[in-house]
Amino acid sequence: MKIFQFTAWCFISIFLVISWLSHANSIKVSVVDDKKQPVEFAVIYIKETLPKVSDNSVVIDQVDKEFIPYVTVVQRGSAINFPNNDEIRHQVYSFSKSKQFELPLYSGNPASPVVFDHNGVVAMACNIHDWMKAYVYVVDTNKFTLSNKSGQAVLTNLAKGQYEVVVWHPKAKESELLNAQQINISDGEHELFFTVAQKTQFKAWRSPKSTRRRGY
Amino acid sequence: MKVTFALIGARMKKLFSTITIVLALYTSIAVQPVVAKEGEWVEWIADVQLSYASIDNLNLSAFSDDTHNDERLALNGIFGRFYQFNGFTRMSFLLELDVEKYQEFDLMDNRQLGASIGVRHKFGLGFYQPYLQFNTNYRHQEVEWDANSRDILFTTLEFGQHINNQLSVAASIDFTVTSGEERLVIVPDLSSDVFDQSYIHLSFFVDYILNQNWLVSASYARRQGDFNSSCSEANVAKVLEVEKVAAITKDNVFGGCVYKLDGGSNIYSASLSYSLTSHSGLNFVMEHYQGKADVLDYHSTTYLLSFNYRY
Repeated sequence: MKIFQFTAWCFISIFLVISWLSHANSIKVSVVDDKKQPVEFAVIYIKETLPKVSDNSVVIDQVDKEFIPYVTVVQRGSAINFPNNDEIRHQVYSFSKSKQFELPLYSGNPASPVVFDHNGVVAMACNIHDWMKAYVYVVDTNKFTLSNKSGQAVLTNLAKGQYEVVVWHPKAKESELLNAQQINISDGEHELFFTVAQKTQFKAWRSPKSTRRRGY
Repeated sequence: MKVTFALIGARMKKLFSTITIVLALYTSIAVQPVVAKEGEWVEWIADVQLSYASIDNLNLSAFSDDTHNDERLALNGIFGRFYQFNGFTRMSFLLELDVEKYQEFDLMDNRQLGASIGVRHKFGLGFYQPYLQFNTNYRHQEVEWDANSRDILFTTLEFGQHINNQLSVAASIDFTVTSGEERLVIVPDLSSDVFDQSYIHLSFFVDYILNQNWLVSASYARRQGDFNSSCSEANVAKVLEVEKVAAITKDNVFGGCVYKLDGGSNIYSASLSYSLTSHSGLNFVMEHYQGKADVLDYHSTTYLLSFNYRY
C-alpha cells in the first residue's frame, strides 16, 4: 500500500513540475477593443523567422453555410483542408496576394488540401453564398495563438530572450493592422495587454427579407 | 403624350413577352446537357413569413370621401429546392402558399397557391460579379368573394450586383398577366372583365447594410398598364365622365363599382430589416402607390411588419 502511495505521489509531483515548466516561460495576452471589450479571433504571434513546415492537420470546416473557424493562423508552408460538412455544395476562393486559389464547386472533402506558402492575410469566401467569409493568417513562426471569447490567449514554451509580440485582427482599423510590443522573457509568466480598435466589418446580408422580393 | 406612352407600353409588352418566351426556350434547351453532366440538387428552400399590414385606401379610390382602410394578417410560405448546374448557375423550383385575412373587409380574404421556376446566373467568380435572374411564376388567388378570384402569371428579369460590402443594387423588369372570373355587365357596350389585366413593372432596388444586424432597403417601380379601382356608386358617373374606363362591374366588397384603367403608376418602397439570427429576421416595409390614368389620381399606402424565417 505504501509503495502504491509513494508511486502516486511521484507521478503527481512529476506532473506538477512538468505543468509548471511548460508555463514557466509564457506570455498571457489580453486583447480588448477601444471600448475595453474583449476581442475574439485576434492572431497573436512572436515575430521570428523559422523554416517553413509541412503541417497538413489544419482544417477549415463549412457548417450551416459558414466557415468554421472564422480566423485560422498557420505557419508558412502549412496545408489546410476544407471539408464541406453541409449537405450542399460550396465554391471556396481567394483573390488575396498571399494566396490565390479556387476550390471549384464541391461537397464532402476536396481532393487535396491548399498549401499556404506566403506570409500575410488570405481572405476567403464562397461564390455561392456571398455572406461566407473567413481569414487565414500565415506567419513565419510556430509560436502563435488565437484569442478566445474573453480576449485571452497564452504563448507558451518560450526561451529566455527579447521578443516582439504582434497582434493582428481582420476587423482592426487600418492604423492598427499590426499592433506590436517588445518584451523581455525571463523565467516565469509574463503578461501583455493589447488594444485593437475595431472597425465595423460587413458581410453580405443573410437573414430573410420580406418575401415580396425573394431573390430566388 | 399619353398616346405615346400607351404605344410604348404596348410595344414593351410585346417585346417583353417575346424575350420571356425566348429565354424560357433557351433555358430549357441550354440546361439539358448540363443537368445530365454535373448538375446536382442542393439547398432546400423553406421560407415562412408572418405579417401584419395596415393599408390606407385599400380600394384604391380616387375620391377622398370614398376610401377604405383596413388591416391584414398574412401567412406566406415558399417551399422548394435549388438545382445547381455549376459554380455560376442555379435553378429554383418553388411552391408558394399564401393566406391573407382582412380585419374589416373579409370578402377580400384570400388564399393563393403558386409555382415558380427561376434561373440565376452569376457572371464569374467573386463577390462583385453581377448576376442575372429570370423567374416565371403562376399562381391562383382564391378570394372569399369568389367573383374576385383570379389567375396570375408573371415573369421577371433581374440584374444586380454588390457595389461594395454595404451597398448592393438591382434592376428588374417584369410582365404580369391576370385573368379573372366572368363578371356582371352593368354598363352596356363596356367590358366587365376588370381583373383581366396586363402590366409591366420597371423596378430599381437598393440595399444598404447599416451594421451586421440592420439593413435598409429602398425601391422605385414604374408600373405601366392596367390597374383597378373601386368607388361608390355616387362617384361612378364622375369616373365615366373623365376617365377612359376599360371595364367596369359591380363591387360587392366595398359596395360600389370596381373599374379597370390603363395608366402609369409610381411605387415607392422603403424597408428596414433586423437580423434576429442568420435564419430569421424582422422587417418593416412602407410602400406608397401613386397611380394616374387620364385625370384622376390614385394613392394608397401600406405599412407592413413581418417576421421571416428561412430554413
